[in-house]
Amino acid sequence: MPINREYIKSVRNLTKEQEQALWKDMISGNKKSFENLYKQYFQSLINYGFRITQNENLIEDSIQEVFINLWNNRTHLSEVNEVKFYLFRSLKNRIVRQLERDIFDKSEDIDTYLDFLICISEEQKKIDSEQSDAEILTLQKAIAHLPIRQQEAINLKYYHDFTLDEIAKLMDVNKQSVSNLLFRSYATLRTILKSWTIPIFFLKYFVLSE
Amino acid sequence: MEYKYFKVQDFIKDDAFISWVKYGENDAFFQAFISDNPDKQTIISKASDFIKKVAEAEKLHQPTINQSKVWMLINDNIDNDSESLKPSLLSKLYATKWSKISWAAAACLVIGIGLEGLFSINNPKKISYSELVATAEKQIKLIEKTNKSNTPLSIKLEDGSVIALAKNAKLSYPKHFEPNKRQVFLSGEAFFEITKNPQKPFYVYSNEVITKVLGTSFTIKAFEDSPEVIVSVKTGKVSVFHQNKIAFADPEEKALIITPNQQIVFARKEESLTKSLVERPILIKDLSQLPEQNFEDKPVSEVLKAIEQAYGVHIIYDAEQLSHCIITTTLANESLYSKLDIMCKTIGASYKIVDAQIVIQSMGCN
Repeated sequence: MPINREYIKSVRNLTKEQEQALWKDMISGNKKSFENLYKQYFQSLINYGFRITQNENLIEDSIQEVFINLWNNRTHLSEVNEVKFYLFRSLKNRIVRQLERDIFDKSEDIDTYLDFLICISEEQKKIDSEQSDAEILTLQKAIAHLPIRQQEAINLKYYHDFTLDEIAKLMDVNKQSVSNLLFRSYATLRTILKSWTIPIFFLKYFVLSE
Repeated sequence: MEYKYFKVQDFIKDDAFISWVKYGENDAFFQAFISDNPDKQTIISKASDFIKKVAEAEKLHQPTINQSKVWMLINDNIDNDSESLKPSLLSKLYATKWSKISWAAAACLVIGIGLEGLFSINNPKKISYSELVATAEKQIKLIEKTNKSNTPLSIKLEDGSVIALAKNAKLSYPKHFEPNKRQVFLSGEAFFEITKNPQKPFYVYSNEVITKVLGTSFTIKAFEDSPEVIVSVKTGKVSVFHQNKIAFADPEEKALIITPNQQIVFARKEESLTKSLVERPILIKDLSQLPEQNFEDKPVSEVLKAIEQAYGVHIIYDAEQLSHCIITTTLANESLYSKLDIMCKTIGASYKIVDAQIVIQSMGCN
């Protein structure tokens, strides 16, 4: 029985060939290609930036600087294997350099987690089995309660389609750490998806024991 | 591991599976797999559901930034020299919104990072021992001691604190401390045992790192030519700060927590702080203080909890997977890692150190 995939009908942004062609064109000084590159990746980049910082001004300025520098230094650039990865990493570096590194996410905020549990149990009562929209909203709230590093990892993996290796490089950790982050977020988030309810106290081992 | 052994948590990390779920790539393969393995149907459903919904949720998490407006600003600034960016970009101060944090655990170190350095993007400012001492001496007279011998040199300070300098290390300190703080300057390696005085926090300045102490014992390694500064804690509470320019004020900053048996490595060029476990974690609690030392046919989770308390480390494991694992063992004064090695071999598991935490991976016991 084929799985119902109507939920997200999507196509990858650009093929590898199209990406490379655009990049090459841009390097050679084609301003129109530069603009197309910007248009192609703007939404994805600010989406990712929003997972690194909530400061929209900072995201805005950083993405500006990434593209300005990209154009101004284009003659020094060679062909890049992974255009999307390169842009993501440039953005991240730029944002992070301006930010104080927020390293708190490594320690669990117990109160926030308890708030999340209460919020989730309230939400569960409201969710109708047909209302998958409400479920997405609950999921969104749940994601917002995850540690920031987990948020970043799931954003990169499930929305922006990066590999574990690429995510490891972007987040400056090893591949196993990324795997663990994904596992931990899965362990927490699965409780709010229909028919997966597991006793809340099991969650404690995945989250509180950090 | 083959797909037929995959559980939901394995599918959600698999690139090929994710691209099938999102874009239908390799559809023939996966459809065939499902018909050959009908028992995997539920697992695959769950994994697909998770991936699709998280992707959807992430898509909705979008900031409000105007694409054309930003493009105009970019356009205005290219064809200029990259040095002469419009002033609006350079002079903005970024107000960062901090998430609320409350500390559950005791014994934590706070590391703050200065918000200076808007201009230091490409050249992280290296701060040296001599610069620090020169600046400080403008306000207070300092004594300098260097350890020229092969054995540690102990220095006793006005407040009773003792600092043991390793070979070639240098310490500058005042004979009499200022009224509301205690400051010393270090080059090289030293072990600190600081007397407790909450009214007079103790600060150690070592290159770009400031360690704030309330009363504790710890080691700092800050060599002039080393690319790193390392702070490791034996007992008590320490705060570690990073500064780009010399400022002796007490900055209001966010903290990185390190507890006994943990250490911070500050990479000077990258200006990054990494937390990890020390090479040889030691017992931080006396074994007699633990509720139980001997475990006979007890669940592994009980032993792991005891280890957490004994060494002050965090251990992460899947309780469901380990729920059937039973072990007989005794906790003694031994190396944490050899204990973990033996335990893991017994139950067919393995462990890894990730971000100063221990993660146990197991297929379960049956």
